[in-house]
Amino acid sequence: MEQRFLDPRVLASISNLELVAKTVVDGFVAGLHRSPHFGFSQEFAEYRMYSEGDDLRFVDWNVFARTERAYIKRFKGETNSRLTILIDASASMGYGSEEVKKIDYARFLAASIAYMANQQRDAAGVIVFDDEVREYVTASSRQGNFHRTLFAINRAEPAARTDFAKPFFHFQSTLRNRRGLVVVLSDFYEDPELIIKTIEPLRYRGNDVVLFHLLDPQELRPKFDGPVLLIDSETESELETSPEYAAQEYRAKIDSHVSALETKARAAGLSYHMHATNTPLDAALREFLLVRQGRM
Amino acid sequence: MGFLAPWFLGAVALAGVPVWLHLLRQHKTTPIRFASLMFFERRMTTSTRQRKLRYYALLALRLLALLFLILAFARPYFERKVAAGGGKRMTVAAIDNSFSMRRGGALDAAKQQALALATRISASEPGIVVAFGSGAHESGQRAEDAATFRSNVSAVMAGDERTAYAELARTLRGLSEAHRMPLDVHVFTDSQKSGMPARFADLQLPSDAKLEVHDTAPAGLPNFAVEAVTPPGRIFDTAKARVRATITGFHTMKAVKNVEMLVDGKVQKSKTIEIPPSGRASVEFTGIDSGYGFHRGEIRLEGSGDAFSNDDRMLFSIERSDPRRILMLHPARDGRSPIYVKAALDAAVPNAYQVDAAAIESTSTPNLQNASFVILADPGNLNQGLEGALKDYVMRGGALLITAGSLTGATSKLAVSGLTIQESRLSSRNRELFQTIASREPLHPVLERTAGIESAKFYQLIAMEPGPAKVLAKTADATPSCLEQRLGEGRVLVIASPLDNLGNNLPLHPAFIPLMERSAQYLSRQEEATGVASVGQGIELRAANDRAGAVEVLDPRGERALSFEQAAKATSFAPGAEGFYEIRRGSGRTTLVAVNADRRESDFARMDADTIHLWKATGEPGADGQTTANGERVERRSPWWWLLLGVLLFTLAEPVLASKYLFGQGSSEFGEPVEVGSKEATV
Repeated sequence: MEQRFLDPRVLASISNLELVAKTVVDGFVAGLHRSPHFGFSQEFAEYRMYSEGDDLRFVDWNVFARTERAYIKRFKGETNSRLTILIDASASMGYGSEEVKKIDYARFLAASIAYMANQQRDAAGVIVFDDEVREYVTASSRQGNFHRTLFAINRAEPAARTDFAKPFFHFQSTLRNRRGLVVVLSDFYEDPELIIKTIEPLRYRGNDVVLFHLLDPQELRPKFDGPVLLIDSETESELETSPEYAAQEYRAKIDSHVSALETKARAAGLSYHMHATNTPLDAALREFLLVRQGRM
Repeated sequence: MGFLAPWFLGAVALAGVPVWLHLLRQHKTTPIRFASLMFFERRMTTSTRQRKLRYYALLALRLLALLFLILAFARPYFERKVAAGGGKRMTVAAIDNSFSMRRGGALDAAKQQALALATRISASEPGIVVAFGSGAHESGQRAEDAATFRSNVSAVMAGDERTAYAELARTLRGLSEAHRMPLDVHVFTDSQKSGMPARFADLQLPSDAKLEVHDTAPAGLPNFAVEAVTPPGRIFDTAKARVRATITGFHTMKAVKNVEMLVDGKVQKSKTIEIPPSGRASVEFTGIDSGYGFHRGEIRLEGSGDAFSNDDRMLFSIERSDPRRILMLHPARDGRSPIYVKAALDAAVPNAYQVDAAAIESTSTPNLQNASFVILADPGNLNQGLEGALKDYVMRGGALLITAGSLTGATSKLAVSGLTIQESRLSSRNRELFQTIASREPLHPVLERTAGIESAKFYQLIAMEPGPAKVLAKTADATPSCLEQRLGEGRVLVIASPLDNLGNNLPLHPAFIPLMERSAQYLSRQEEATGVASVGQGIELRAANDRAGAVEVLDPRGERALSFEQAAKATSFAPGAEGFYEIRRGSGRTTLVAVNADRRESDFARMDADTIHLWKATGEPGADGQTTANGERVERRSPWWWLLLGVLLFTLAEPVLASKYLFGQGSSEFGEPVEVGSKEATV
């Protein structure tokens, strides 16, 4: 089943990249991301005056011998990132004008990221949600967790409506104790204000949040040869419209929506990336990882 | 504006198709599932209006193409008035020079009256003289001065043709078209009723033609005429030769007349007959005293007492000859066939034929010089010399009757003719007992009098591949039983069964005598020797595919009646005057044909005034819908060519415009066009 997502072509294109977490998170396992093994980092960061309660193991005794002042050595704490992938499995994600539906694209992307994290010995988990939390695999670096993650990703099927507020409230309580990397894969058919307002608290808690906005090409540039009766995938409501509207006003609205979402996301310190489902998957990953690397 | 085919306008209803495509179809929507309608709005009304406006040009283009096509089929026309001849008129003097105009100086009177028209002839208003009988032709050139016109009138000579006013009207229509001037037509004629065509429409005059009929015939309606002569054509026994004549009185009282028969200018017989009022009487002369060869005969009505003496005589020609020699070649063992053939021919026409029978085996160089035709009974395989001689004889115009028997059935090809023999079919008790003729050509000269031949029983038939031969009779299983083949100038008649009363019972059948008689006449070409024809009636000179040898025709004055080209190619000849015509064919045969004027010319009953009035009316302005009362000619102009050109242009422009509208909306004004190609999203 994993082979479905671990496309060798995808792995080949990103194997020379490292997933570097920006945020230092608390973790019981310390180590250097660059190292393939777990361990404590020895890279010196700074000195500070000893205060009561500090661990005596980090007192620099040589300095104390020369100056009779106790200083604490601070090391650059490079630890494994805690990656949590949030997949929107609402009914609208089941739309696709071509072979690849949005939910498929989201699965591919999520699996690829999870695999990369696994290669980096990062803890990875997944949450599949629509208006409820459908699947939840806690982020962990244990062997076996990766497979559970992939299994949960694979089981993500579009079903109900999207409701960011309800599941994200749950995420806040789940992710507040540990900082890490949160990747959200969704078509974000919601008010940008509401979306950012819902997701922004994750950032407050020290998480690095990346939004992947996935849209079908037909959603970006719809093309109809005549009047059409459109049926909403989530609400089943019907609406008759014209090709002229789709070619002009709709495009303006979707572009405005994308632009607003990007602006508000960046303003809130969230990374935002919009991808059409006909763009190559590896290119999207490379773009994302380069951006992340640049922010280190 | 009018339409030549207005019923095509009914197709205008098809214009609804583009309208339906453009408007009604716009309201038809296809349901499509979409991710979210968050950014969509209902735009049905606006869409239709916008599309209607946007597609207006395309709709107009399609409608115009369709309407232009329909209009082109409806053949519209516009009428335009043009001055005909610039107000000038052409004078036409039509002089009847038919046979009937010979009576009482009628033709001279007509010419005198026509000369009176010369004073109105000028360069601006020219004149034309037309002489007409069964045909019409211009006499001289178009006259633009009085002298030329008079000369043309004087050049009209008396003829022996019959009157045909329809031909005159046709010629007048041609003159009007050629000169593009309105005509003043003056017809000088005896107004014979018999000259009227069967259809009055054939008298249609050209537009704006003024007709004036000048009756030039002298008084004296009653007329006696020799209406018909039936000569024997060819006589073998002078004592038994009979000539029958019919004397007719047109509008006459009961009369007793003396009729004479002249041969070579000498009165040989004379009889007195009584002719009933406006009736006919027949007279028959038996016995003609003449030598061998062609003779010029004449039936003359003495003392008719009417004003027209030209029809009181009728010419005929006769040929006295020895009995026709028929060479019959038969197998030595077959002595029966000559007996039956001789008996049949003697029974049909006594002394007309002399059958010289000879055994094939003992004949190598037959004397074909005097044979009118040859009968080849069951030839089998002929020796080369005999077959070559017979083939050469046929190719040069001779005739051959071949009967096929058991000897022939054993060969692969029929002698002389070369027809492929398929099999010899013998009836037996195990198969069919006999075969009969199921179908035949009833109008062929050989079979036209053989009624009942279908009951003759054939026990042996030699099946042949017809090839180039024409099948005249065949059995129920389509086996040819009688065929005719043309070889060179000659004829070959094939009977696919012997005449020995063994292979069939035909010799004992009643149809055998007329079959042999007609075959002998046909093969010796006696049907061409009737000796009497009418002026204007075609005389056959040769078959259409016969190009061998020239045919010479000498007219009554002894001059060649045909040009060199006609002598080489013409298949028929229509004599234009009475008299004896000598026809010398390429085969060396010479025939004498007596030509007489059509006796319908002897009936002087005239057209009534109403008929002439109606005839005049056909040329009045506006009668044909092409001429107005003030002499202007109405010309019709049809724009169908321009309509078709428009259809072509619209058809070429339509895909260009349609592509722009239908596919142009895929381009995005926000960036590069997005190639979607969705099956679902494509309506």
